[in-house]
Amino acid sequence: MASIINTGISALNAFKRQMETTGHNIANVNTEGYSRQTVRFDTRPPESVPEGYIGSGVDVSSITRNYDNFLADRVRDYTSSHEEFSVYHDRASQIDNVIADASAGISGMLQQFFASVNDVADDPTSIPARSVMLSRADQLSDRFAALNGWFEDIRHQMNRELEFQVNEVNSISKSLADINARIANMDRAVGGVPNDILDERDRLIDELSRYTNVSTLEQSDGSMNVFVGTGQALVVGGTYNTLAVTNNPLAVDHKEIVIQQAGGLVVNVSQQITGGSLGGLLRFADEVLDESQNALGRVAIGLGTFFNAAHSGGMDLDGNPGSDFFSVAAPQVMANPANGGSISVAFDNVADLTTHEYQLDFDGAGWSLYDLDTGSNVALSGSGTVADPFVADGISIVVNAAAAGDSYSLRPTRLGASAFGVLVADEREIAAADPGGGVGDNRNARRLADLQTANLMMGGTASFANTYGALIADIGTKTQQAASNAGVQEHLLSQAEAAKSAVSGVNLDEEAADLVRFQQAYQAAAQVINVANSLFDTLLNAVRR
Amino acid sequence: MRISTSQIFTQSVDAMLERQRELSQTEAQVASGKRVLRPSDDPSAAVRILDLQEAQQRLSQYQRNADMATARLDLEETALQGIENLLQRVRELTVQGNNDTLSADDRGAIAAEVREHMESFVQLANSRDANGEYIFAGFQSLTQPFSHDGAGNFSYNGDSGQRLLKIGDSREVAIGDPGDIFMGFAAVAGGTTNIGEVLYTLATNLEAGNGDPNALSDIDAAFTNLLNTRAKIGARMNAIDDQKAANESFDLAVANVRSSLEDLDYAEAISRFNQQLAALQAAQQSFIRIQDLSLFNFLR
Repeated sequence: MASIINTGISALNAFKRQMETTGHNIANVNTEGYSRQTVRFDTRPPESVPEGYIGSGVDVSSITRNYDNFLADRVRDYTSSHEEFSVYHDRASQIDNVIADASAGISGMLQQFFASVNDVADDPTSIPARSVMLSRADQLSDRFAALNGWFEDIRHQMNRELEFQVNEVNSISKSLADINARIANMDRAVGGVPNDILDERDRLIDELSRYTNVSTLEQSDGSMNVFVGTGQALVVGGTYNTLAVTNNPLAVDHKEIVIQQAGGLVVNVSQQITGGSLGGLLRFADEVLDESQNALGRVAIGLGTFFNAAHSGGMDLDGNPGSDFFSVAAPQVMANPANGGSISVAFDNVADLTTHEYQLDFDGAGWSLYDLDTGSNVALSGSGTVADPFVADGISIVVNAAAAGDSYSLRPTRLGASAFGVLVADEREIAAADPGGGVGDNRNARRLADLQTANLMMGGTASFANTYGALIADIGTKTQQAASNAGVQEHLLSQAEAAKSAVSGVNLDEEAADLVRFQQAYQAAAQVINVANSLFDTLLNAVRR
Repeated sequence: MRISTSQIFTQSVDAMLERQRELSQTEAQVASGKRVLRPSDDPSAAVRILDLQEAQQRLSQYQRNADMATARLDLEETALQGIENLLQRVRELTVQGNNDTLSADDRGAIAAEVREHMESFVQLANSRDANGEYIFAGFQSLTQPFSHDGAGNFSYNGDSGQRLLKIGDSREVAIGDPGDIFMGFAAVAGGTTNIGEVLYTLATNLEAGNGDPNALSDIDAAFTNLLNTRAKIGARMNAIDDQKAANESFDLAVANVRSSLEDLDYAEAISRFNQQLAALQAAQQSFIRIQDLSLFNFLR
């Protein structure tokens, strides 16, 4: 009878554990990262009786979590790529939304400006027509400045966000290192590591995968090492390395991500960081933001240069030769602080300008120009002297002094939009006439008006409006692709999440059914004890008599 | 496959959010009447729309230029018509003045009228447009082109510049003629002369009691000059009309293409809107129905 009671008690305890676990599952139905727990039973070792063996009840062998590492890794991979594309798409949309907008884009203003030039050609002696042309020119330059300012705002926002996200990554890394230390310290002999701590650890890694692609390696003590990029250690056991945002030495407004390793070693991982919102931001900066600002600058530099050339060839209302009409930026050159020499860079033929950025290096023997966008070297013609400068992609480079190891970052068109302005202040200075003509001569004004449709840019294949159109097409295509990629990744992510959740998720109906099942079992076990008790009573009553 | 409770919830909510996103995109299209709201909606169409917009702006500029040219040519034509009329009258007067039976007084009266016409000619040749520009001054349009020293010497202070306006992608039209059309034509007596000088000489001869045997031929030479110029003006006016008509039909064609790229097909959009609305309602209803179902509802 004692064995009946013992068996009954073992069942009561086991079913109570099951109901407790079901309660825990129900309690955590909305907890992010929670994995459903299941109580596993072992049959107690049987006791030997003369007839053979008799069972002695049940033991709780373990409480396990339903978790599949493979499925979890897949969710992280898709989380990273989905975050990357959606962050990229969000940022690109900021440009996509304004670039073709009539009240923010350049094209409408460009048309209005040339219309005003045409009106001067219609009536070259009219002071009102000339005033309108100057104010349209001012509006055009304001529009370039405003759009460029918008790009700068986006860059500023983006750089702040990089800082913020890197801090988030560092704080997650720290939490992970702490959890790793706790897991390693837990006595695995007594009950092992609590499921809820493992869930917490895995949830932190999930969280990390939103920021960047991560890979993991579980150690024998249960701690998890985490790597970013191409295997740069972020968390190793109870220690972690911090990420930081730094300036590129050649281009201070270009942010880079470094990992600070033990022993003060700092490794630049900007090129290795892929996926996640960090990867998305870095890729957006390279592929969209810099490129767009350069493309906008190229339109401003082209318009300014060609307009100035034609305007300077004319004669104004007072018979004076025309002067430069617009101010035009010089190519942006950033020298490495360690350089020993110096160079001068100017525009050679703005028709050949690209929207790319370059790095110019001197190895002590020769110069090389590396296109950062195509990733290949650009051939330099000339010898770098004042009489015969290096020429490539529309820029000319004169070497004033050179030291081995000198390097420069060249952004030919980056400052184009911000430096674009109107130099002519007096409407009488508009050079509508040809030299030798009179006040009623409109020949140069017509030449200026004709610049609107002349194919002067992109190697002589595109007008200024077409050159701006190329930017619109580029942004539109990239935004569209990003949206479609983000959509695909979202779909894959939700499938992966469904697969993971099929293993780890809590279903309330299932728990309700379990509750009924376990409650019945518990009642049955109680009944076993009740029966044992009544057997005992029966026996006692029989003896008492 | 097991489905977790939070998965059911997330899926339903995601589905509703997606339907709402589609609906709001369609709503923005319907509200603006545009199919392409931003370049990413259709990058190649967005760029073509800008090109077509620019073409339309250029065409409307050409129409403005054409209107401007027409106004200036009308003005020129009126001035030339005035000069022609006065030359016609002077021709009659010349014939009268050459009549031997005329008295000195009669000749004096005719001479006085010729002098009036000479003044009128100078005024007409110094005609200005609404902006105050002399229309027969070439490029020196702010300098009075014709002056008379009172002794029969007429000088032209303009130049031979001719202002052209663009009225089509490859069509330019002159909006006037420089004042040398009144100057320097061959005189019967040899050398060159000008309208003013012919009139002055005629009046001087009449005042001296004589006829002017050369005046008639010189006036006819001036006429020929004027007629040639008026024929050119007529040809330019025709060209402008042709080009305006061409610009208009080109503008219409461009507008059609632009509309087909840019404008929304309302019928399609509205039916899409209704479809998306129905899909959203279905998602909402199924969410409510599914959330109502729970085994716990029966465990009482």
